[in-house]
Amino acid sequence: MDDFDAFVRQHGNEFARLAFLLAGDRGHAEDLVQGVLLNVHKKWARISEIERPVAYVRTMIAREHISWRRRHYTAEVVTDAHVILSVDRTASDHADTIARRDATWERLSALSKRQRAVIVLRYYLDLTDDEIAQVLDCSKATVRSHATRALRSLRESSDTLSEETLT
Amino acid sequence: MTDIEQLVRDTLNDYATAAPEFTAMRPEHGRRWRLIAPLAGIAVAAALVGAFAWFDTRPPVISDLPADGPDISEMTGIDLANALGLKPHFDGTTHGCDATGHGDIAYCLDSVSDDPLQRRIIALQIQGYARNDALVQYAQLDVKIAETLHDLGYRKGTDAIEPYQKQQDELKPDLVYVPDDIRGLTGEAVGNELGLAPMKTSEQPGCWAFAEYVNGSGFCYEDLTGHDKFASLILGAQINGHAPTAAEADYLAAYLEWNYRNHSSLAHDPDREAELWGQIVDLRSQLTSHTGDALPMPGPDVNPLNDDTITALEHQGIHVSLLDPLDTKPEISVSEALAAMNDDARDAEPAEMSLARVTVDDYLNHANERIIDNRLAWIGLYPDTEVFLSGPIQGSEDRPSTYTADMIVVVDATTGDFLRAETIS
Repeated sequence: MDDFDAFVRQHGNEFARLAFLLAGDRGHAEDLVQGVLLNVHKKWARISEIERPVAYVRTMIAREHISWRRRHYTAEVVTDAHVILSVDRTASDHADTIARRDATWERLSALSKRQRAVIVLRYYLDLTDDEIAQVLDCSKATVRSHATRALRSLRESSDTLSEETLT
Repeated sequence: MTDIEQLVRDTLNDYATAAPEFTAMRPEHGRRWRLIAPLAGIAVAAALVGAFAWFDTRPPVISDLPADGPDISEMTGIDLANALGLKPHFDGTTHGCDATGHGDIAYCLDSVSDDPLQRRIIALQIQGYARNDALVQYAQLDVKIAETLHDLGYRKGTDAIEPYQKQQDELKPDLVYVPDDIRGLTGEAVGNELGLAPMKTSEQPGCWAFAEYVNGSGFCYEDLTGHDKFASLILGAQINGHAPTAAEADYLAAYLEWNYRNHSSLAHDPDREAELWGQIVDLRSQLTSHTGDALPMPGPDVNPLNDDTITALEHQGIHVSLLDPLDTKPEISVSEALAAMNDDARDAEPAEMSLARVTVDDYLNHANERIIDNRLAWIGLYPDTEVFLSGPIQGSEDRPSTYTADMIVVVDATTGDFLRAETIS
């Protein structure tokens, strides 16, 4: 299992970032990553043999996040208001940019799990719609539908914020 | 890329820096340790997570299970949660407490008892399992697992809890799942019984199975009925206020229970699921006046699967036994099956197509059992299809690439559900 430990050391943070963006809070992200990695640990002999174990585990994380079973799972979720405060701000960031990103982040939390997963996979991992369809085990049309609805919702939120800023 | 897309990308990259460091997810760092979901089954583990929280940080509670009031030992689901006066958390989440859930709804159990075992028992009952000896033993093992992982930590604990998990596996057949009973209910009461979270119609998040119970409010029930159009129509109408017929109610009850068991770690029961599936098929034939549009054979340009294709499938662990549609009379016609296939085959026409009994060896559920096992299905072959390889993480790996391969698509010939698309060599 040494190679499993090395795999986790090398990619653990990468998985945590993906889980965080999917789940929207630290506590849930921790549950997600730890849960998936325990499954990986149990099946490591087989998973380590596949060509791209990192992509495989990413798929496990995304599917676990949206899986039907998690609706029956009872999570302890820590409110993550502090996350917003802890995001690193560079000097070049203007206040309105920060506000728009914070608003976008909050609006992301209002999306359904599937919509959010599509957005994260498309715009964070840069997957194509075909690849997203494979990861989420759905059709490409479903991916496009989720993306369209999610972007429309986020766009409306962004427009509202702009109007409030102007007034 | 549009402005909103760029904003989303920037936001995600920005917030990715706020993700927890994986190394911080260790018990020795003093954080609550919530790792066992997949070990004991997602539903079960959730409350264990809370048990960790209790061990670590929970202030003592003064109440315990009430001595008076209704007898909760025989209650399950939402009814039990209501009897205990628990507040529903409709987003499925609770905040820093020992929790359980039913459907979309989570409940915090901290006020129920200061005994972790009692909370585990209540948690399982609310999830829908009757209190019996097996459930109590199962809950005791949950507590032991929680204690072990808490004491030993992740690495050592993973091995140490295996005996407890094996005991739990042996107990699972004796757990009694009690399905939600929505017979006689209509409107909002249906969603409440099923543990659905009410939401505004205007804000329903892209849900493909949504029904209003009053103007402006409704329930999303897509996970309960999946892609089964009959179950979806019946449940939607019931939420809309239309009482189902006896046959419709029977069909819906059978499908909801089958779907739950098929996706559940604890309630999974192949024999019961096979029995339910038989009921579903029988009831479906009562509910439909189909076959009028059921073309008995694929079109003239489509050949049946030939021997080479069948051999290639066999090599890949996909076993097919061809059937004559004229004898079998599948619920789903060729045209319906083609429509379902084409969504994943990019509107191409199959070169070969047959009705068959299909078994896929390596397509397994969480219990390592075949998902497609002797399933009546339409199977189509699409030659020279462009297939995308799995993609990269941004900036860290090669760009995506494609290759060309023959692809088979499998569609359930009873429900019309898309089952599988796979390349064959």
